[in-house]
Amino acid sequence: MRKRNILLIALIIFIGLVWLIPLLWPITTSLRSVAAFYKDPNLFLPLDGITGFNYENTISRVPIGVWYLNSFIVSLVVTGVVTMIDFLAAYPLARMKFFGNKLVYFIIIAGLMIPFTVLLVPLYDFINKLGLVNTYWGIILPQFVSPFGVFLLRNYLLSIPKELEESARIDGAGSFKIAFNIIFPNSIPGITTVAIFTFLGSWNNLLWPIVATQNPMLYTLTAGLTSITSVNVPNYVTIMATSSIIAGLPLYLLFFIIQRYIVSGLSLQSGLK
Amino acid sequence: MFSNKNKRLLKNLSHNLTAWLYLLPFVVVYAIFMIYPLIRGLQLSFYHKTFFSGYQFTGFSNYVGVLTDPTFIQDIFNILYFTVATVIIYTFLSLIVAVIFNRKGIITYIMRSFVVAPLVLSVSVIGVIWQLLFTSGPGNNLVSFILGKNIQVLNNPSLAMWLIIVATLWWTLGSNVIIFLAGLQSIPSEYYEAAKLDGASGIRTFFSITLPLLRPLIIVVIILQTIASFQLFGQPYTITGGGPFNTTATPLMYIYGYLTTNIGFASAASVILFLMMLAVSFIELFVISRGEEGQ
Repeated sequence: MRKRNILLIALIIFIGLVWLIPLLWPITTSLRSVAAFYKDPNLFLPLDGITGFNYENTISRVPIGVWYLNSFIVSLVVTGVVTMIDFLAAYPLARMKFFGNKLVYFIIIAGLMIPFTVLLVPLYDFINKLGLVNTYWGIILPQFVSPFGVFLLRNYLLSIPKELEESARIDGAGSFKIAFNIIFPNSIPGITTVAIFTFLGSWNNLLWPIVATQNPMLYTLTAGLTSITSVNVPNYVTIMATSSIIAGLPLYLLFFIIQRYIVSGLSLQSGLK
Repeated sequence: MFSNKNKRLLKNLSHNLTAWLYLLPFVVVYAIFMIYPLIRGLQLSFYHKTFFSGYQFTGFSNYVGVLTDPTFIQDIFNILYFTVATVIIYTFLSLIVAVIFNRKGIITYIMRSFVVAPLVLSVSVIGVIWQLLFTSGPGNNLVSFILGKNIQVLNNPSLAMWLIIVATLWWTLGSNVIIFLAGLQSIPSEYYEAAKLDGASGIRTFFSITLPLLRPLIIVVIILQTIASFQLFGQPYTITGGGPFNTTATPLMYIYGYLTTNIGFASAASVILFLMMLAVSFIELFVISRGEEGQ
């Protein structure tokens, strides 16, 4: 039994390390000098010394700071608006009896089954007609729809005990006060999950930003990274490796902090809870 | 003066109105950016847009055009190949990985995090890393070593799609693993204790307790994976550009390609893709639930 346990742990460590290896190579490459890289491009650890040259070179040749800023602007606006309107919609759906409750909820759930693929073309046509191609709003507006957030928050709000709002109602609080002073503070974990998923979804969206804008100075980080390929830059490989690390590593590290929200969001997505 | 009944009606009315006020912002956004584009997309697929005369109704000619385009047909074959491969491999692998990782302890937790973490990276980061690994890194050496001959994966029509499959595996397997882990942890431990008392082996326990209880989740994972796989875009867009010889090009790349030049064509292609996704999902549901009756 003991021996089997050790074998299992060894297997677990093996799988974990296999998953880490593809990341080690670009990190290592970003830290090595260009000459050392071309001498032996296959190293997974920077055994021949490290340098910050690639980072200076990348930042001076690729507008990665602008893309970071664009990503923050787009993702923060999208996250703020989606979280707010999804909470506002989830509140009556979970805690009020009103005409059309079930029907509205059904229509919203049906929206979960609509893939972005079918919306892409007409959304481009729409944004184009409004004259919003090559603007922040063109990138931002279509990302405001998130039926998943309503679904998740409604489920979360259903689990808040009724007594909480009843005592407030006796004290004469209106529905607005109940929504924001009682329900909102009690649904912070659910709201955080929705905010994180919305932020990541918007930050990592590739297809819509490259459709909605052709101006590299308006690109988000995700869109910008794919545009370097077409630009003729010297030391292309080390610059690309470094760019991918500058773009990816902060999120990768952030994952270890927000892991439990990712786990709970994914479990909810599968309809498990 | 109001009667009691009228008062109640009035109160009901204001109660309904309040509820709808909360819903209003979402409903407006939903109508403009979800329902309207859905209808508009269907409409556009029957029109041809030209610079001079605007939109012209052309019936099914966009559909005929798309379906008789050998490039689109190949894209459909590519995406079916990718979907079948990913649904089978990812479902199977994530189930195994979840079973292996279903234990407590700090080492398991850290290693599990390594498997799940790539999920938060963008497809561009994934694409750049895997493209570099196979253009300038050790990727080709490794594959050549395993297959025993000199190979350039990105130039190889039968291997390029497998690079996409492996890169996507590295990127997304964690989400399926998380779903299965949550499922495994919801199985009451009494079941396993009873099986142990009966002297059932580990493999026997897996097939007669774990697998049947996970069945609903396996269906969910298969359907979610199918829908995600059909919309493959970013990985070939960044890693292969659809090549070599169009072997990794996908319908969504086709749609993207026609978006600005022929919007009717792009619309028809996306309606076709959507209908295929629906059909395949229903076939999967049908086959799986038939299997359930057979048991």
